[in-house]
Amino acid sequence: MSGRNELTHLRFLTSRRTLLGAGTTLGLAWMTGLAPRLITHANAAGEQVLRLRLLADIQNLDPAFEPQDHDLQVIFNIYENLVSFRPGTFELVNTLAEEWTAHPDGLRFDFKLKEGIQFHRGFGEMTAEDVKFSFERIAGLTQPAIDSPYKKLWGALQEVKITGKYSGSILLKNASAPLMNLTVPNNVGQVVSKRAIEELGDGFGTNPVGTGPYEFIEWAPRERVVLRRFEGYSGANSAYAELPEWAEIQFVPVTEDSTAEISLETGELDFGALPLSAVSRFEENPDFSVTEKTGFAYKFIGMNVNDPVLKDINIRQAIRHAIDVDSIIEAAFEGRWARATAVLPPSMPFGHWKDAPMLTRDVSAAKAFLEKAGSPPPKLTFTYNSSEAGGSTVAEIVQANLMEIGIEVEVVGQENAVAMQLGEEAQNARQIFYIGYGSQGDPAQSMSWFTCEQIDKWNFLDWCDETFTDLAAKGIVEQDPSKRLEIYLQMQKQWEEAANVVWVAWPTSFFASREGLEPSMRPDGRMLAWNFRSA
Amino acid sequence: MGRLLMIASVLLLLLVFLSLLIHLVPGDPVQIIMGPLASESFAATVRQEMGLDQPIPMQVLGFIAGALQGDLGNDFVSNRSVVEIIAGVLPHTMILAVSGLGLAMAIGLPLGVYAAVNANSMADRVIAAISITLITLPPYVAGLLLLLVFSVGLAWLPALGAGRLDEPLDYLLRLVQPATALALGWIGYLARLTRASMLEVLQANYIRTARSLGLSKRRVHYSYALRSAIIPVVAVLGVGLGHLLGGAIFIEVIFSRPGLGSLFYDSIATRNFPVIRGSCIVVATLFVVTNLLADLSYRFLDPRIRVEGAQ
Repeated sequence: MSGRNELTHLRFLTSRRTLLGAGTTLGLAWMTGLAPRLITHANAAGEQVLRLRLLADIQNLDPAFEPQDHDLQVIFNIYENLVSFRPGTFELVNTLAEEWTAHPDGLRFDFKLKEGIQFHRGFGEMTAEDVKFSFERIAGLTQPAIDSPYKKLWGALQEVKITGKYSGSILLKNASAPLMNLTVPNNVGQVVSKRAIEELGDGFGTNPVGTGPYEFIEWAPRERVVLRRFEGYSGANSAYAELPEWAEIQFVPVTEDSTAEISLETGELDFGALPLSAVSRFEENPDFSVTEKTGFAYKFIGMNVNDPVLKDINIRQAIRHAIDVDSIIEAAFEGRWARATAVLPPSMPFGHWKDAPMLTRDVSAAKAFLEKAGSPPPKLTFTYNSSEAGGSTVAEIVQANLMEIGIEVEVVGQENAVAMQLGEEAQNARQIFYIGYGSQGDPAQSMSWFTCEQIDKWNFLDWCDETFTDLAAKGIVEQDPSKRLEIYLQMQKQWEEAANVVWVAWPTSFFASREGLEPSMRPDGRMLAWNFRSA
Repeated sequence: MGRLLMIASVLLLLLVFLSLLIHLVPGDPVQIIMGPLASESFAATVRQEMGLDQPIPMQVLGFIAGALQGDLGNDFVSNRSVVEIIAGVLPHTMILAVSGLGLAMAIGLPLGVYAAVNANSMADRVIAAISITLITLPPYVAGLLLLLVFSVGLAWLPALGAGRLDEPLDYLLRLVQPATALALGWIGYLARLTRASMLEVLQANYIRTARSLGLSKRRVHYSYALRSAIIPVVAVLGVGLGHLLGGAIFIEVIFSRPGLGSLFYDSIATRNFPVIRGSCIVVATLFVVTNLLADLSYRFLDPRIRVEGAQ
């Protein structure tokens, strides 16, 4: 009995060995390249696919609600605007509009649409009715009204008056100079299908319908967003771009930077944002080219001017002269971010103050300001948002710099929600802080957070300057570009006099693209995937 | 029955805690998600949709009542129901966790048995060294190492995503590295645990009897000794699934896989409370259910427990 069992067992072992042997042979064949490589860039139909990194997954592709930058990267391919920025520039060019006329008073914009432009998935031809619906919907003027978070960007809208099937006028209650930078050529100026929104309801955000070069096919959450070249594309952008090249574009959310680097190297991604630490490596790799874009965001070290200690401008000046910004840029941002000298970067369409003073570290000047202030200040608190890139390094350098002039600093890293708390109580707790603000490309928006109305809201400096606030109001309505430029230069000088910030950086983004791929970007560093080309 | 009541109490307490969570942590979720551009009316609408405009006791009761009916609320950013969002990613996490656990058992148990049977030999010492190394290797480090070797160096396996379930081969290939990264630590842990348990069982009289009857070593070790030795291992596996779900957070982020872990990670980063609460409930439920199943499996594995239970 026992012998028979052993025999059966031996047969089993023999069989298993055979299986293991076969598996090993197959494995070796695979290792030596006999098996096909797994990674491809074609879809099931054998068509070319472009795979791009998103820094996080999308959440809502409705232009009225898209919550973050990742969604924007996708929707620029799906929807179009009446007028857009020519890729890579701030030059406004007609896209859906055949004609676009701005009236000198800034209260009226007439448009005439190109005819025959079709919405995706058979939702019919785009007409002036869709334009009216798209803009008035975000402004909260449609019935039932929606509460778009971007309502303010259409805050000046009175109505869109339809004058024909393909023509109409945008009428404003008051002139809004940023409209042509922030609103019309951006997501809130994109035209959606009225019929699609009425039919799809809340589902529109994850099943969008536009007129753009690519139509939405699939969203596999946390895996990919698939867009397909719209075969019925009208060529509305043909005046400034060629027809889209890729049969399919896949946006892949990759949160982790190391994974993104690996995926670029393995060829699973064709293009994607790089962490600063990886830029040099990709620059040296002949299989990739690296593109850099300095957007409109700005980072600074701010001081609460109503703090009992920091209300003394001599203390603030001492701090400004003691901080070594160059070391911060080098240590926290690998020396790659552009050093800021004011709020508006050179990449802004206008308003950059090129003669802004650049503070250099001067310990003796800092000590002199401290002497003027009288007794040395008590221990101060430096807070930073722990989700801010390089925040802890900035804090450590500031702590060391200020210690050298005799100011003791306690560093506190705060979780995003804590760091961003609004209200009087949170504001009173702030002393020195490191923070960054974003902007979509108009000085009005970049500076809007530091007016008197923003006290206890987003004006973390607690700085209320009537002149600055008045100028901010004027800058919004002024239609003359040269006068607008003068207003924003004056505002920056006013701000500089207040000595309440140490400008640190205008963040720069770096993108790797595989050799042979020509990326296309907006001036703010957002991808225009529809316009990517193979060299 | 008592055990079921305890599970129900645990889940009820969890629901109460989660409904209060939004009030316990600082910061305004609407403000964090939408940033400074969000209009005040939009923020008010969202707060109303989340029930934050109601008294706290009503919020707690409303949340519990909804959860008991399978309604975990809506994600106000994407306008999708939380149940729908979780249902979309849960299968990927379950497949990953079960694969990781399966791999850990398939390698860890035989290693442990082999080490116990050859106790104090060179092989035992080598297995001990490997096991301890694997235990100390965090899943995310293991994941990155695997990616560097198998995706970058050898280009054998894809690095990104989970693939499609309707393309099983592709799905399997994308599962190999994450499941291995998740399993490595558990392989070492199970090997050590099984070894210790086996060593104890191998001293038992019934094992000596089996040997004296001339049964093959393999049969004695795997059919008799392991069956008893595995009981404490099963108890650990019940808890282990919960730990694997925790480890899955890092693995899913590193491999850019959809799943409960990456959903949780993203939701915490954006303070998306409805999704955080929903994910917590699902993870906690899975945790208590797997523990219950582990307890029940003792009866199956050890007849003495069945008999004592019946008496």
